[in-house]
Amino acid sequence: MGEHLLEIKDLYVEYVTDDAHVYAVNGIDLFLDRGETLGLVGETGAGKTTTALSILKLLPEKVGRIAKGSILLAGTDVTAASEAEMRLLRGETVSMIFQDPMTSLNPVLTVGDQIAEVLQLHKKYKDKAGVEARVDEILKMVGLPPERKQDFPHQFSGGMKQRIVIAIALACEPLLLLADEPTTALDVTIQAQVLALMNELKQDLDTAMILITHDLGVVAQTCDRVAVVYAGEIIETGTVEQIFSGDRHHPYTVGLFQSIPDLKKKTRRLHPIDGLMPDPTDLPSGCKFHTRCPKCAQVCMERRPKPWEEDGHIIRCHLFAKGGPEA
Amino acid sequence: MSVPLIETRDLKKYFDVAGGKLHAVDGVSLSIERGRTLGVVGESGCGKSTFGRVVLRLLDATSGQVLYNGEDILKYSNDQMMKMRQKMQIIFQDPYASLNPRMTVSEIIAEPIRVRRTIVGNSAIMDKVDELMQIVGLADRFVNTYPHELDGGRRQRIGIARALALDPEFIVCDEPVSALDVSIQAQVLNLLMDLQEERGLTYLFVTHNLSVVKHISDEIAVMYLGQCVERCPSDELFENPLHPYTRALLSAIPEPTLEARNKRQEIIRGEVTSPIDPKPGCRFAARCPHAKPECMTDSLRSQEISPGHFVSCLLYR
Ligand SMILES: Nc1ncnc2c1ncn2[C@@H]1O[C@H](COP(=O)(O)OP(=O)(O)OP(=O)(O)O)[C@@H](O)[C@H]1O
Ligand SMILES: Nc1ncnc2c1ncn2[C@@H]1O[C@H](COP(=O)(O)OP(=O)(O)OP(=O)(O)O)[C@@H](O)[C@H]1O
Ligand SMILES: [Mg+2]
Ligand SMILES: [Mg+2]
Repeated sequence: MGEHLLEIKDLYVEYVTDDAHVYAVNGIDLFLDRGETLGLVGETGAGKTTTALSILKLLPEKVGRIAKGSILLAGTDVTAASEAEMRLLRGETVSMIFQDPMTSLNPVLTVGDQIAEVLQLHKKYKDKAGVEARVDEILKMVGLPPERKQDFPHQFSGGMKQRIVIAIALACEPLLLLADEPTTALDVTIQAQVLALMNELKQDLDTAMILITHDLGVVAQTCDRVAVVYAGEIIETGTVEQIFSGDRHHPYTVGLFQSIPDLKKKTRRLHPIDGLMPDPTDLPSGCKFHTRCPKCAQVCMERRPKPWEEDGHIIRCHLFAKGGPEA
Repeated sequence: MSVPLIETRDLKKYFDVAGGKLHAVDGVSLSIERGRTLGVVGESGCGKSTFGRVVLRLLDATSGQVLYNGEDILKYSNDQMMKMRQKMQIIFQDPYASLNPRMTVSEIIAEPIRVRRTIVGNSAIMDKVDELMQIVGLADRFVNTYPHELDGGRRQRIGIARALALDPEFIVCDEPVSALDVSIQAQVLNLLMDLQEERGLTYLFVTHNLSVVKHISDEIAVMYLGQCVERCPSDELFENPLHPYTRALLSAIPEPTLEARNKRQEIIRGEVTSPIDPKPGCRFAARCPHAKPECMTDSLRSQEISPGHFVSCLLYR
């Protein structure tokens, strides 16, 4: 094996604006191999999108910056790469499906033309008829009638726009696909269809994928490994089996699972995790979850927990330190 | 029976597109009692958002009626509609596109109050903004930030705070929690339900999340390509789904468990029918496992199979 397709080490990312200094990512380590799907889950504001933007080196200019750490993507050191090198990587190695579909759609070009443009950039289809036929096929794959290729983005529903963006990303046949909430605007039948498509890509081309999502159901059904992010840190990671079963978990992961409304039970109130995510401009000391943790001890307020590890299952929590939180 | 707060009768909305007339909403008749929640689910692109917008008159209907307390608001003059608008609000699906990027959080929330002058005086308005931000769980420090500096969840809270600013009676919630993670989703749903209890709010709740819709709705309507194919009380839909599309939908829910992972789930196949000048007959027929020749030709009518449970499908004729 040797080298991973993607390897992130001790990454710190900050946003500095006139009136705030936001610590968005605070020491993330992760790796990804070809053909693997990693689920990135965690509360809103946890730093998931920021992590993905860092891999592409697309943090907002002047405001966002990588403060520390390294990102190695297909042998390229992203933090040191030039814009020209990055453009090449973004074209051929990695594609991103953005959370907001309009970031990647051109409002004045028909949907068919936009897909055709990508296909032409990415070799293979030389004649116009070949391209057109492929455009129809791609639209059908994401459940859109080909007749609609002459329409403009604003003439589609939210979920349809998202599907068009997915179609374009898949047409690029990337080595690494960063999918930021790709199916949140989709109903479950279309979602199943889209996830099956992504799976095919993974099988046919050995594409690796980082799937950012709030939906633990989607994670359970599609990911190989999972990383749970809280306040810019990965507080637990492991295989889906390790995360979705067993009883060794970070208290935050436990809370996440308890907040899911259960279709089989009738409950009047849901059980969200108490409190709010800490303010990323003013993060708490020690374990960042200690302010909301039902198991908080003295040490949790003072020291950042070291990772506990067993067969690749990593938890950052003092409960799992040698001898328990008192040690 | 009392007059429902909201009722639509044979409501239609067609769009002109390159290929012809697109039937986005095609004869939808639904009603919601005051203080209740009607959930609307259905395939992406089936017309849920368009329906919500036509009900609020944010889009002009092609034909049909929208009754508010029994009065057809589609016939209202602009002046009458101005007054009406305060009572009806919307929380949008897309927290990105719906917020003005050049306004700060507090300006966005205060805007409807300033436009309608429901509260006058800067300090009184700011007090109200503070209160609203607190209700939706937005920290004070965001008062002067711009929406693009915030993550998706916080942007969606701005939309909710803004919708509550005029103390409305009726709110169209268009995917209000889909950009939120499960924990904050739970907080927001609890919030919406508490607000409903305290203020007797009426919701039209559009979502893709079936566990959410079950949790929050009294009744659920299932739409497919512009039409309502099934409608019944919330629990009944999950216990006894009748329409083949509803069944496909319920079976596609990804479960957050490993046992479900290895179960090969069924994906509905077949060409998607185009909503542009659709042919007569059932619009799901091309993908329906039970389709018969007459499904392609016969026009459908909604039938009440058991009290309060309506379905449009030839299987139940
Ligand atoms: N351009 C920006 N300027 C200032 N702060 C920002 C900017 N973009 C993001 N942030 C902040 O960085 C933190 C991490 O945001 P990020 O978008 O990565 O979260 P996320 O995990 O993707 O959340 P969500 O699930 O809501 O999309 C948040 O506190 C957010 O407000
Ligand atoms: N302004 C418009 N011009 C032309 N067609 C439109 C316009 N707005 C919506 N449509 C079409 O109307 C149909 C219904 O769209 P709508 O946004 O109501 O769907 P939806 O059920 O809300 O979908 P989603 O779940 O993806 O949000 C779609 O086929 C869409 O392309
Ligand atoms: Mg994000
Ligand atoms: Mg919609």
